[in-house]
Amino acid sequence: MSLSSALNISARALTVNQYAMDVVSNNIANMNTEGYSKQRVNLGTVTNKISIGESVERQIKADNGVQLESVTRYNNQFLKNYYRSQNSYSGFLAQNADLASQLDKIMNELSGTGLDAMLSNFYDALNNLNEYPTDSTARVNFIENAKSLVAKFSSLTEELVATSGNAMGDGTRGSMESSMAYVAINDMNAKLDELAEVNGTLKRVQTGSLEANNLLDKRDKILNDLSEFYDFNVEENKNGTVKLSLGSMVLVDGENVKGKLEMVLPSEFYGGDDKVPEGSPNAIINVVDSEGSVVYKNINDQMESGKLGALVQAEKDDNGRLTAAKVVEQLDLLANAIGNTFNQLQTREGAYCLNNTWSELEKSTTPLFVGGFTETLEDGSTVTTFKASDIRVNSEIENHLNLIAAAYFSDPSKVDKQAIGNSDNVIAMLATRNDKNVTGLDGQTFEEFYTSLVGKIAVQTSSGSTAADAQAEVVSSLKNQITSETSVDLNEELTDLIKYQSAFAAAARVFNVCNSCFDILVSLGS
Amino acid sequence: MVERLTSTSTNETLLKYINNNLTKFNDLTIKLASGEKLTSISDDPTAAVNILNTKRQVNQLNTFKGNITLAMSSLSNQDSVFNLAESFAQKARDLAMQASTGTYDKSALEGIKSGVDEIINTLSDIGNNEYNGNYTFAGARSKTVPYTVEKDAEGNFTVTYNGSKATSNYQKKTEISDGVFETVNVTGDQVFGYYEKVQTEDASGHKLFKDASDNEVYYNEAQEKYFYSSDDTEYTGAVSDLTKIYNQAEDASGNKKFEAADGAYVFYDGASYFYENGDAYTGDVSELNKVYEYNSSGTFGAICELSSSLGRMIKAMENSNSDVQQVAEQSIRNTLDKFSAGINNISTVQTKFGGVLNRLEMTNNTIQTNELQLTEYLSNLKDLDFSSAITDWMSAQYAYQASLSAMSQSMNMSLLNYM
Repeated sequence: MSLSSALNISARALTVNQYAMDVVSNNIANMNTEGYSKQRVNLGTVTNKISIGESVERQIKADNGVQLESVTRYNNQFLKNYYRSQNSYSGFLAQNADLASQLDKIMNELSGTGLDAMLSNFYDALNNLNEYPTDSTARVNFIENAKSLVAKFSSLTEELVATSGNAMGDGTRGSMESSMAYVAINDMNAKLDELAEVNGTLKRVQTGSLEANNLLDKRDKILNDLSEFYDFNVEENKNGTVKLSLGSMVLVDGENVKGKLEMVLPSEFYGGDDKVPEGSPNAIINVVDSEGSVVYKNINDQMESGKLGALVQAEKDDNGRLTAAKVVEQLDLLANAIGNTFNQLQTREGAYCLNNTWSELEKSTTPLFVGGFTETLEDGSTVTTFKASDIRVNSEIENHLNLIAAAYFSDPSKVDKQAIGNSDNVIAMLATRNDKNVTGLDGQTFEEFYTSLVGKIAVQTSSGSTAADAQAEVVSSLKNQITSETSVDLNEELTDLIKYQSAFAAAARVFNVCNSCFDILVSLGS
Repeated sequence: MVERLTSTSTNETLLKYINNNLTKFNDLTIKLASGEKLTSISDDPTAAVNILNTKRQVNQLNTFKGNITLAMSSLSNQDSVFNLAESFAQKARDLAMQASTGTYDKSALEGIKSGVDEIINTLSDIGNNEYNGNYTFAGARSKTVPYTVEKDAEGNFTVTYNGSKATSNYQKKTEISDGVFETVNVTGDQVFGYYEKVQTEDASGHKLFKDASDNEVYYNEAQEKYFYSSDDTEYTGAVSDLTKIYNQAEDASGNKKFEAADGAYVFYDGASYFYENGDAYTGDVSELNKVYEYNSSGTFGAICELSSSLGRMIKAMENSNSDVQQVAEQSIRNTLDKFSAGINNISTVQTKFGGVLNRLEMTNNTIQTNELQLTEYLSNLKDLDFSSAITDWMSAQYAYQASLSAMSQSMNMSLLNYM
């Protein structure tokens, strides 16, 4: 055993403890960094290689002491993987709930200004017209309420159509580029680049070092962020780099981005507006490589998880889900039923309106609602179909209120032109409020049909947000578990700091003692 | 339970709970501020649908209530009109009774006649009753004056009914509950009757008119045009220039009926004029007045017949024609039954409307009860129970405050404080 050996041991101890304090200070510095995992120094004793058969003395004399074995980070890989798959699902549900709540806001009927209230006012106006069939105020009131009704129809569809374009666009470039899916794909592609870059750096640094651990934290954070978009498959290599794939399509391998998502319009995809097949989505997602050439075509059907999955499927109306487009369809049915029912009564045989001096009756031929699409059938009869977006009150009636057909004579031989107070047609119109046999409304009255539509939307939104909330709770508790297992605790660090500080101080003292021993030896010789 | 606890995870957990408390507190604050249980339909879909349905029902009930109030006031107006009409009809009947006894002299009868004539005008005013801007008894012709009274040169009255006829099947209806419509009007011809000359028709059933120069014109209803009878060319003059041609009364063998100056009837068979008993009429033909055919019904029929019979009786008295006097007296007596029938018409309608009024009142009561129940139900669905909401709000506030103070206390705690 030599003095210099003790000196060496204490010198190494100084270095090692100083490094340990570096790690502690790094931990403290990063205690609020998102995704940072606490790192700890693994120390080990230095063991010299001693040949068999050497003397005990020689063995004792060997240069022992402390050495830095590795710096490891607190990690729970299983939990992190689980977290990512749950996070994907949460992203899917949250996005779905968000889309559903947009419908809910549009169709919010509790305010008293919804379609339901408009229908109710319309019938009130009709009832008033029954009392005063020749009164211009009652007629204006009726027409104004009919106008409010159709205006509500058109504003509802306008909002719904705008909403249906929120997810994937409405088939135009501008709308696609401002859609939620487009923005999400851009974000995701940027993350893919980041991941490839981290992969590249990870390859070059030594595992078990402080730097490598910091990179792994960064990688994990990118993977967490990516999991919100889609439930990607992640394969981890020994050096910490990962291979990321969407289903079987590899997107990132090592430092290379093999594929990025790209959104194109169906007309571009199929090569012309006329070639787009029926029922095609408003935008199509391809996978392209770094040169921009398409690797995988039309992966819309594979997009089934995460935020992207919810956005791509937003307009698919499978499982009886009410999409914005589906709600518009239902409103179209209602508008068509109302338009045709009232037009039929307004222009039927025996319906009479006032002449232009309001003094006598004349045959009514002017429809109340216009804007429908009329087609002629084979047998020569015509069918008019109204859409909620296009139905309007006939401006001719609006300008000539006398044209409202209030009178009706069931018996053509009893038509009395002077009977301007006859309001039998208004009574027939009033009776439609309780009519359950309207074509296309499944045995429901106008109001029942609408209320049940609102009810369905409410249930859908409510169950969607309940599911999303429950899943968010799962994710948050997982995240909390990960945080408590891997994050920095100040008390721990301070304890470590004091621990290493004392070790450092003690080693310095040993060094000092050895040093004075050398001094004594040197002074002996003089 | 998690094994390791770190300052970061503790902070995050605490923050989450604070956030939960804040959300709960905020939700309750919004509810308290708005006074509504639901802020969005998805808060409680079942309640939302119930609210919509109930709101609609309450709204409908309000409409029905309005309709019933309007109908009831219209019916009670009609009721008082009927009372008035009945009292005048009764008065006219009393006069007829007095006149039919044969004890009155000419001047007294003239007094009775002028009284009767006055009642005709009064009754037509009553029949022209206006309510809410419409003529009550004109049926669907709500803007047409229902009764016009004319007195011809001989002092004979015609009371024409211009409203829509009971036979047109039109009834003014008002909705008093879901799909139930109640009739709330009656046409004048049904309740007060009329006394109209019968317009002459040609062989094809077209009504005949005379133009300004006495040419015969007929009205084709199908084409809604007037044509000359002579050559079927269209009449292009003003419709207001046309006057109706009326049927002259005839006896059983088709002889035209006239009235002589003394009130006696004279007939003309195309060759000679003669009295009812066959004696030749020797007087001046130019003194003969045509007797027209009348459609007579109800109170107006009775009173107009009374008036013309009184006229004949006075004429007979003037000329001391006792035969005619007796006949006229008999026809006055005949009007008594017609009066009874007329008054009966009015009181029948009155009774019917009394029933309607009762029904409306009953429905109104039911509606009010329903409305009360529905409003209460609606309030249960959508209105906040303030006392429990405030209690909840207070405890949410305490919870939030407690979590805040717990956080601020525990965040300070670390080894750092003791070094």
